[in-house]
Amino acid sequence: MITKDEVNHIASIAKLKIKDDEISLFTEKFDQVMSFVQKIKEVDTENVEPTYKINDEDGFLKENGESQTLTREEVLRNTVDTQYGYFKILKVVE
Amino acid sequence: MGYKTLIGLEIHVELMTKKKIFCNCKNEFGGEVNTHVCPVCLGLPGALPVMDKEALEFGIRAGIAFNSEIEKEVRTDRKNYFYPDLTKGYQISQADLPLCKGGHLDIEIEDGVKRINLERIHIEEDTGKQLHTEDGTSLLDFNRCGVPLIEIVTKPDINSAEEARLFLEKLRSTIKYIGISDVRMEEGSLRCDVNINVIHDEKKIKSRITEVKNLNSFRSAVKAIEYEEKRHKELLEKGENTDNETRRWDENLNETVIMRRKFGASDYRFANEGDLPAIKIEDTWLHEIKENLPELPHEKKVRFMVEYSLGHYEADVLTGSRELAAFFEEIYKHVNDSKLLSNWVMGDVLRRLKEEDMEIEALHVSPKDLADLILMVKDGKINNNTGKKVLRDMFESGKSPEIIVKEQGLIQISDEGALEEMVERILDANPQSIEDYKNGKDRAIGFLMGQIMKETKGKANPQMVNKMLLDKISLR
Repeated sequence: MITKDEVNHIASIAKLKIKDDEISLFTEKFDQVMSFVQKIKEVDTENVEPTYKINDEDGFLKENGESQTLTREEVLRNTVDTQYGYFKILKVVE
Repeated sequence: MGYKTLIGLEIHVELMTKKKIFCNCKNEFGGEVNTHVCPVCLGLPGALPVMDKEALEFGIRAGIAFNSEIEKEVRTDRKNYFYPDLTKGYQISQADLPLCKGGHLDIEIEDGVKRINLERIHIEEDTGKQLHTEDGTSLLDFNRCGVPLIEIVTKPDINSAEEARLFLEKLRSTIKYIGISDVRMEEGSLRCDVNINVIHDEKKIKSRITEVKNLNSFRSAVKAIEYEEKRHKELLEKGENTDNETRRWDENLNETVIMRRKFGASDYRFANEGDLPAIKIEDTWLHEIKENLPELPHEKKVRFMVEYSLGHYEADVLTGSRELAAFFEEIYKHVNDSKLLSNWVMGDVLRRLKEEDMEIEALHVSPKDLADLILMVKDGKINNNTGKKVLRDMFESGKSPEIIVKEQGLIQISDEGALEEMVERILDANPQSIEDYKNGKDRAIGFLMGQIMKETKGKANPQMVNKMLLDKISLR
């Protein structure tokens, strides 16, 4: 069973605010997910290599490619506030 | 036995590749704010990362240099966290399968060589830079976002602040050797976090691990470790304990200050980075990287010990940087006497560098000029003390030793006739000293030598004068 504290913890690292009366909604949903995971865990994976990718394509490396660098105006275009060429935001204390 | 300190270090190194790790923006320190930024850096919808070949090669070089096992396939993971320095909401890093596994680096401590084992080395992207202003806002520059990083994680094999300092210095010089970073702490291309706790075997107690961040120099790392060591012991002595927390070093307060509860690995909800398929590292490429790697510090050290018959310590100091080692080898071509040469370099030259707090690259004296000076002393043209004086002059003026010796008339007097005449005259004038010497006062010879040096302005060949004095006195 997922506890209230666990829901609150996950909400806090996801930077989400959840009201007290909403918590039971999440404990319920998380429990459903967890029981699904439990089901998967029943599969015997002894001697089975882990699957890291779902296709057989190998990745490739870039070398000397064209840059897509934007102008500063383009970089800052979607933000609300700027100063001296920086994005300006309210200070987030970690 | 008392308390034992366990220290593990996490070192982030910015790689000096031409391009960023997942896009083709320029990787450059100090560029105009927000001008090396593209949709990948900003995590704009639809932007896709592709790994940079040079960045991966640099990571592999580090793995080879630190004796790690290089993974055959490179996989990346998303490290999820919400903070303004990464707009994507995750950092592309590596979780359970780092590029390099294990490895080690040996340091020279008082009792000899100590091996510090590594846990892993992985590659990841750097984050953007935040400037916090007085009025409660932060300014964000994403030029640094996507600069390639390696993170080197040690095992908790370090047991003191001094060992940590030695390790960091060795690590920095090794990275400089293999040319993957300029390792400038003040510019943030080398950053170090400390994980520390203390244990007491008999009392069977240990403190919880504290992580210390924001260490801007090796000196602050040392100070933070010493501070934490003390704090942990004191809490245990009081029957209390430390918390699993992240602290930062405050340079002004000279103490560590709590930042936040330590994030556990699971808090980052690592997940496979599906945008980057795994990349195979072919054996031929790996072999090529190995072949092209410059001689590593420990290899160079061993070669110096064999080739120049130097001791452990001398070889270690002289191979401390690639530039110093090259300086030594260049002079050796002319001087051919490693013992004499190492005395000069390790004595007068390194002392000078230390006094002036500078690197060998900044020295005015060329290897050829220093070689000429050493040869002048060796051949008896000037004596040892004059040689040291000339070297000091060379440091200041950058002039060649020949010119200095000529300008100041410092050529050593080795003319047997002239010296003999002078020795006789000095002996005639100082019968008391002869008497003293014969009565067992060896110091009298020093006095007589001093008289001759005074007359010759320090230019007399001391070995010749000494022998003459002894010979002549025995005849009187």
